[in-house]
Amino acid sequence: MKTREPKTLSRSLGLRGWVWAGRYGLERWAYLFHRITGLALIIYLPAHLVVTGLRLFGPGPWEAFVEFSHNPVVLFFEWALMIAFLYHAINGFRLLLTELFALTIGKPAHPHIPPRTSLKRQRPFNIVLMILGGIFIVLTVLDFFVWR
Amino acid sequence: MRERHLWLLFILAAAFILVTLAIHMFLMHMGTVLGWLGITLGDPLAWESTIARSKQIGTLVLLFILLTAGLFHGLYGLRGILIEWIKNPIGQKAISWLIALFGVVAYAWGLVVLFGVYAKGG
Repeated sequence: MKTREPKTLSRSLGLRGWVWAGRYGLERWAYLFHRITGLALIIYLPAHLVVTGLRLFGPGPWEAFVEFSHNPVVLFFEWALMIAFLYHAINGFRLLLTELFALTIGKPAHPHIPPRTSLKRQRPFNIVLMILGGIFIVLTVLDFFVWR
Repeated sequence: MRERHLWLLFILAAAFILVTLAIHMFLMHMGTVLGWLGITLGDPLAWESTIARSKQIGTLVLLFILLTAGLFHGLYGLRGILIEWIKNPIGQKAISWLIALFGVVAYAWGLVVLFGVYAKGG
């Protein structure tokens, strides 16, 4: 009797796999946004090093840049970077605690469906941190656009 | 250096960034919130303000840690993403070296800026 090979997905779906590779849970979206915000931050860092280096050439070039940074479009991108940092930092904090201290993972146990630790410990922890992130985001909106 | 050592450094760098970048972002961008805590800095981007801050050894140490940990963490993360895409081992090696080279140049420039501005302030 001829057996049919099970249909398998390619090991790597490339960029498409980042955006959609099935029904994602909260943690998979957290991973996706962690990558996107990380890329935004590492693209910005060299530009930031160049801009802060303007101070080596005296107050003229620096003040010209500061004047430029008051432009609403620049201010919006600055705020977007702040959000990227906040998200990356708070989600990264969760990953650090999980990687280094196994927080919320629990002791080894027999498999159980649905997985107890991920739904009862990891997900609530993730949600609490995202609420904290939301509070910080509201504060940044106020500090960037309302209180200045 | 083995990959697992680089990975550990990547994670440890993240811990340093978490603290130093949070301080940096709050000082530079959250003036009103800091005001509630009794810390008033004025316009942090004003020339006098930025030069006065750069005189402080605390600022130098903070930014030195941030530059070192930030560049390593960011570029190692970028390399991880790129070598996931590039399947060819030679291409993976080439991208690793390119990123390392870029990291050395960016770090050198960052140090020139950091110590150059510190000397200007002092």
